[in-house]
Amino acid sequence: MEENYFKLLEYEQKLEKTGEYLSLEKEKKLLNYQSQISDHFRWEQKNHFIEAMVDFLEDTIDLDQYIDRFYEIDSQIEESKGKLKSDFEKLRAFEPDPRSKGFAILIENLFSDIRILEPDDELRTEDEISEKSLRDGIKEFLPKIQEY
Amino acid sequence: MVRKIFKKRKDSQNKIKPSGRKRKIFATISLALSLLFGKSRLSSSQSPSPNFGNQEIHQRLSDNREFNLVEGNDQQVILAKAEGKGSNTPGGVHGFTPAPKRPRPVRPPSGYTPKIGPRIPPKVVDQGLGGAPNPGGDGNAQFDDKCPAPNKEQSQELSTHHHDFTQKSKIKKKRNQHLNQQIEVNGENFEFERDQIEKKAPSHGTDFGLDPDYGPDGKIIRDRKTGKPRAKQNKENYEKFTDNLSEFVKDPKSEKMEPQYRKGRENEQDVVGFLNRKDRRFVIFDRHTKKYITGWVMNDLQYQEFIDNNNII
Repeated sequence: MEENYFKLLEYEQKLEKTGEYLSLEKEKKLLNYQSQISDHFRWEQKNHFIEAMVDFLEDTIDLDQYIDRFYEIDSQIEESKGKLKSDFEKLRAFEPDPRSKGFAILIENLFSDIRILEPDDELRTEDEISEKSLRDGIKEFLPKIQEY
Repeated sequence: MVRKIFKKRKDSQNKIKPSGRKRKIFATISLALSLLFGKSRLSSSQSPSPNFGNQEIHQRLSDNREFNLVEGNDQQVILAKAEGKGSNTPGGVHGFTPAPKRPRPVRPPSGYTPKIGPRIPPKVVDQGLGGAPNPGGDGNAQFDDKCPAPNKEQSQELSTHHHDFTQKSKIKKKRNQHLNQQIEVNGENFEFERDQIEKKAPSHGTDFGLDPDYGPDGKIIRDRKTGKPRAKQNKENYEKFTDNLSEFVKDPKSEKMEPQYRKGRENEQDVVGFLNRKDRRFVIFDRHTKKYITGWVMNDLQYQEFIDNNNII
């Protein structure tokens, strides 16, 4: 990772002690570095995500299994990210694959759909979606994910 | 003598000849017109009715009359006979038939506004025609016309038909209404509906100070949809959750924002909310109704999406 990333992290920690925040500009830069890490690790698991999506669309797995698979994949990603962040030397040497840029947010949209899923018609509120809408979301994002 | 009488009779026949011919011509034209135009002529013949200004009611009356003509054809025959020879055809007298005394159609009073929208008045018309829309009727026009369902009842029938599937949640909503809470923040009122609180407390409660729930194995129960520790569903937690959300919204460290919720997605919403940039917690309300929608701790990607695109996903 670039040296600037570490400087920003250090600066943020310093500000936290005094109850202050990074400026919006610096915050955006820091977020950009962090999303590079997320992009890379989620992109590495691209095929697993696609497999879960296709299996669900083809009814090989049910809704619960689809959700479980997505969280399983992501928990592995979080584990890998945690390991990287805890090892300063590894993190310094880490270079995200440029092909992964912008990948993580696509998966995040699918997680967003899972979060607001309410399969029961009687219980669904305006901010929630049905299983059909969740499927439609997968159909919408699958080609974008496959493009990577 | 016979010739004289005959001549006299012939003369008298000749005297009335012009008017008789006229009648015949008129009757023929009337017959032709009624055969050619039938229903449409009937409708137009009734249009100057002084009693019904409303076009829909008028249409119903016209069609009722057509029904009545078929039903009580004898009446028309009698009237035609009174007119003279050759004019006993229904078409020849329809235009002169007085409006039969039948139960008046339900007419909305002036300034009447239908309760469930503009679909009500056409339903009144339909019922008079065939009675098919009356689910309790047998489709018999006469029966339905004599017993038109009051507008109020019709509204109920329609709304029941359309909203059966939400009945349960509506009942629950009504039951919980007294538990809704309002708060005021800088002169603006925001509302926490109890139903929404009960819905969101288990999934997002631990982000706002609720304790996680533990399974029989002693492990924290995770919410299937958020992957976060799940809070217990009970009255205490709902109240605590509401209090904590209120406190968060009123906290001066929570900055007001007006983002989009799920921009470009199916249930995109304009929202107003409060965000604590330090811990990235946020709470959002519908921008128009000011009712609580949701809130949680944003992850890096969600926060970046918010900063870059003013979008909450």
